[in-house]
Amino acid sequence: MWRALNNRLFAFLWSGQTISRLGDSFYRIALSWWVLEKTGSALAMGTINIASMIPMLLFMLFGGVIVDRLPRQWVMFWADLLRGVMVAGVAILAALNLLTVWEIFIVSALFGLVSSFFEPAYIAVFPQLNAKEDLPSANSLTTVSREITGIVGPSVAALLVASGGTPVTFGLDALSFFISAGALVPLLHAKIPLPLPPETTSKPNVWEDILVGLRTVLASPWLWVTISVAALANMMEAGAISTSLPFLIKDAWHMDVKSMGFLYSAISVGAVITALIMGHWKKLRKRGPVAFLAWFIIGLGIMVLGLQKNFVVSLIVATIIGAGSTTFGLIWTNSMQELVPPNLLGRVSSIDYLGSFALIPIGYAVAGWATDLYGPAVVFVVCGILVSAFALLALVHPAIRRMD
Amino acid sequence: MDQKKLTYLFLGMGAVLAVLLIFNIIDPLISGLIFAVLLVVYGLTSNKLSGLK
Repeated sequence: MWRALNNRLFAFLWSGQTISRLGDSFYRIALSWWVLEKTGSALAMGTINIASMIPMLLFMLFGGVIVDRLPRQWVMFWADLLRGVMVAGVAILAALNLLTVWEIFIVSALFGLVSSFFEPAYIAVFPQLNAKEDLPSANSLTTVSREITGIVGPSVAALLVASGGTPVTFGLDALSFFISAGALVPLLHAKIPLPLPPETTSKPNVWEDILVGLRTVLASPWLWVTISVAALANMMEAGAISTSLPFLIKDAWHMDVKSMGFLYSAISVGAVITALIMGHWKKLRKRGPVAFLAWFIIGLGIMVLGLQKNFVVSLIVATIIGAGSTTFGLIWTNSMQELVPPNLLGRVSSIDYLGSFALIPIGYAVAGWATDLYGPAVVFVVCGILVSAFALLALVHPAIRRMD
Repeated sequence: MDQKKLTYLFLGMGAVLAVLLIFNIIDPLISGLIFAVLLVVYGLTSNKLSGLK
């Protein structure tokens, strides 16, 4: 499980990113609290989230091209540094009581823009740092760090906001970005070779580069089938879990907000246990069928949540959903890093990001409408059945069944 | 059967499958399929016991 950390450069990258992720959860809590105090509006918070999501979606493909053209460690370094400077600016304005919602909008949009460069670079740099047999360990460690900071971060952030106020909490997030940029310095000196694409011999052309990425995805059925099915299944899953879950808990189970916290924690616990187990394996077998079987089980889990109201059963099922998501996520990331040529990995992972997130806002809207009309339990059962059906649909394709 | 016994039974079977899978005794695909069937049975029986219609 921990063997990828024997690699000094990966250890630096992973430690820096773990600290940065902790800082991110500080930022999210401090931001929500600040917006609530200043505006008292859920709509303002929703608009800020959209302000950050739209530039990320718009520039993701462009980010993939940059990641394939420039040294990935430098892209990540500048992305961390820029985000650190932006959050430091927010912290100073908040401390001077000069921060307005407009600055938050602008910073959120810029944040989304910078993230569209960082995310593909992070995925694409792994095979350059790790041997093939260490990739499962490296990806599992990333999942463990993401889930644990996701559980611990918000509680620590709440304490920080209560004791030090939002400016201090924003300041700590800025510091976490600077630490993470500092942790990337050894990678900058390590002369990691740029995976030179054959097409760089010609004059650089961004649109041509994006088209090459799209053609690569369309030419490999395992890529386009997974990205399309993931877009549909993510839409259903996000609709049920993010929009209808609070209504299921409150109106159908007659429980309070604490239960929702426990359910989210159960999802994270399932994810961490699975990542710890899968990190041990050097080679994953029957990747296509296992990945989509995991998704089929997630669909069944979502359906079971809508069928009954015993909270223990729901906690167990939430753990299974977390385990299924991580099984799919780790198999998918490992497969991309192993099977996609290194010089195309930035673009392919940016198309994957775009595909995975593009339909989620539709899922939120449809699930909200259907919850009001038919009730949350029906939404869970229907979404669960559809997620399972999409997983089976992917298994119909021979390229997925044969993917080992 | 009450909900408690049903949950213990489901967790027990899940644990056996997990051990068989971790030690490579059973194919990941077969263990996944068995688990999917167990989950459906568990969900539907829980529905009968604590049901949401």
